[in-house]
Amino acid sequence: MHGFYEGEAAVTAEFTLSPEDYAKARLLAERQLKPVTRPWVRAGMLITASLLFLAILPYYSVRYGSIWLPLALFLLFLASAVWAGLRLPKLEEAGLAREYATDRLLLLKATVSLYRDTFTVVNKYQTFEENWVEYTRCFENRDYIVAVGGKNYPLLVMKKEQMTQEQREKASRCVENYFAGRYKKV
Amino acid sequence: MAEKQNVEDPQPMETAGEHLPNGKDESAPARQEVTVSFLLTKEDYADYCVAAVNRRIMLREKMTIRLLGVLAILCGFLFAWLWKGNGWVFGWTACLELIGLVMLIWYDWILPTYVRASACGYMDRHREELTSRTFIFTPSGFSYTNSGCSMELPYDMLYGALETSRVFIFYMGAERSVYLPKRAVSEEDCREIRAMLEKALQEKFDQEGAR
Repeated sequence: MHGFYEGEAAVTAEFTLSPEDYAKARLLAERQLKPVTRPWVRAGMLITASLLFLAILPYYSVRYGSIWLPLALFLLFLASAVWAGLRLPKLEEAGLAREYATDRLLLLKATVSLYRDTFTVVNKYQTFEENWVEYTRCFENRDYIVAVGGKNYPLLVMKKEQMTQEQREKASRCVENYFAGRYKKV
Repeated sequence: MAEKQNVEDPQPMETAGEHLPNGKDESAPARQEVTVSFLLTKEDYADYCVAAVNRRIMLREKMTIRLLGVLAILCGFLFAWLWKGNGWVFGWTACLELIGLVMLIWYDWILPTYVRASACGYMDRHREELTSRTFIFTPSGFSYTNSGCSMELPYDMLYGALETSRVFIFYMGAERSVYLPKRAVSEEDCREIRAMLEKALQEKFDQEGAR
């Protein structure tokens, strides 16, 4: 699909990703696409709910002569907030890693080549050629460059640790140029 | 490009069976290669989605929900009998029975209908994904080609395979899969593919209501 007019690949790099890498990359993308899935957003919502129950405690005690129900709900929501902020992210990551560990093909060494309008991913058994136009968003953090979308290859993950400095810069520039407003450096 | 698998060359056609009444030689070896090409339709995608969703639901979960549905219906009748004549109770028991009925038919009718409608709606909005696909099955593996993706996999790289009455699904991982609608495959080719998968995958090959 990449044709004559695209010229040579802007970047070609080899990656061997682990299930943990895919899990972290996927969570990076999901948490950027849906802020409500971010751990501290959830924790904040639960803390807010717990404070509401604390706030109605004086009224409840006057109205019903007891404080136990709002106090219990306050403690319950506070505990949920701590769980959502600290424990749930680890469970999510472990669950996704288990899911990706079942796909042996994703864990093979793959060569990713980025072109102006397309990219290819080639491993021992599979070849994917996708248009950038199929991908909706791209995110970059300290460890990964992740593009989401696509029909056959929904999550493109490039691990920066496995790229040279020059490859990182070129890849970053390539995705930033293509995605423009849909690219975000986290 | 992906490396070519070491596929056996197709054997020449056997002619030893010509003396039999139907011309078929029952002892002829299985074909070495089955090729299927088809243009995907939204109904194919819907069949795949329904089969994939059904596979993800554990039998224990289905039986539990159905049992709870039966209990809800029975409780509804019991309450209506115990408190007959009470309008409020009648309303609540009717709700309980309706909930029980929904739980009873959830996995058999409501969920598949919803999944099918969603899948067809998705493909109506993404008609560009209704492209042609090609499968080539050999005793050692299969190859799959569509626009933008080609793969040649030995069967032992598969996570599993599923056959239903309408579709074959080949899982590369718990979430990633490709599928072959049976309407694109002749009965004989279906048998060949099934035999190859049974031999290569054994326990990893599930057949749900396939025959």
